[in-house]
Amino acid sequence: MRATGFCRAPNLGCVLRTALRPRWLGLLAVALLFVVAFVQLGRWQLGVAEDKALKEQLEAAKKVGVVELSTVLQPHSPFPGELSGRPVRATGTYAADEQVLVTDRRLDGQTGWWVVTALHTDAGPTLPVLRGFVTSPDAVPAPPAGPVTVRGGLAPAESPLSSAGLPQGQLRSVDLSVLVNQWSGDLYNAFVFLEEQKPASDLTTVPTPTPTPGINWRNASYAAQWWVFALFALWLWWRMVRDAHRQDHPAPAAGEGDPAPRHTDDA
Amino acid sequence: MPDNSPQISDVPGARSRLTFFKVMAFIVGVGLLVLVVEMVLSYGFGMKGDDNPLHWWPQPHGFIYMVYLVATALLGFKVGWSLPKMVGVMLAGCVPFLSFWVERKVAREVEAQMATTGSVSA
Repeated sequence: MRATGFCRAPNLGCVLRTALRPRWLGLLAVALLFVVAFVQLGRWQLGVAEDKALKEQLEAAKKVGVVELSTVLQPHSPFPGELSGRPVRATGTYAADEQVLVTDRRLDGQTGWWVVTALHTDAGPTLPVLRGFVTSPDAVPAPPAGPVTVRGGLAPAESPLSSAGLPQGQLRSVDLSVLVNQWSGDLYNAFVFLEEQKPASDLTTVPTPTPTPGINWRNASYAAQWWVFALFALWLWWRMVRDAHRQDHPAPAAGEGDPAPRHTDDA
Repeated sequence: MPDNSPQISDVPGARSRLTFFKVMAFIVGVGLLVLVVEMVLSYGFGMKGDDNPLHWWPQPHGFIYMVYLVATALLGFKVGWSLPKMVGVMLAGCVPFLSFWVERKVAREVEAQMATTGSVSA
């Protein structure tokens, strides 16, 4: 921007004086209304982008179908990230004395415990099964004694949390490094959110957490477009103020040999 | 200097901006028709997502429309349009077929303006 006319102050402040006139302030208010509306529209599209991505993920998960756990995972081996939430099936027998309660869990607004029980699978390894949710640690139904088939969503072990101060048989997280020392057999490096069990379970099951939703890039770019429109509204306002300012303060003709540049280019 | 007269001080600049505007108005006009076909397929025939052969179009069209907005603003500031007129031309880019008509009207107007520059302003 060039210094123009008789406004000798720094040019920006000079234009701002024009901007403070009621007409331009009013227009700024209108522009800001558009900015708010466009920003909200952008946020709405971002929400749509996340919802769509989540829906796509769930549909993709449904399509892969239930697999036998022993075909996708080996005991003591690292948990592959893409198995998160994967529906799996396993058969075996619960070990009623190999069971822990995980504290400070919430389900439907209630605080309680997760019941995690060792399932000695027919395939050999031991699988921790999150059988369900209880609101009292003293009223945990025993697992079925005979052979069971479980189906549910696979999840990686949780981060270790100190269980200091907790009663015997309770943990603060599904910490498999603790369970591997307490339970017999080769432990899978994963646990299952029980969804269906034969014979049926009488515990309230905990839904498999959906993996963190990604983003649908198409809708995300719509969001970005709304935000650019918001910036554009502000830019329009600024250009109009600047033009009005230049009309009020025409540059002296002697200035740069350019006769009265009422409109000058940005750059 | 008369304030409201649409006199153009920089004719070459206005001419190049008019060309830019005409090109963008044409592209947006055609793109809008493609968008209408896409929407008919999507909402009329229920072709969602990958079923729709044009499902990829709305996103680039949004960006093209933005360039059209910039082209309109650049031309509008150059030839001294009022805000309502500028916004009107911008919105015309959202109405199928209207953009073609507005583009011709605007081009005729600006060309006439450029022709009278130098003489007494209209």
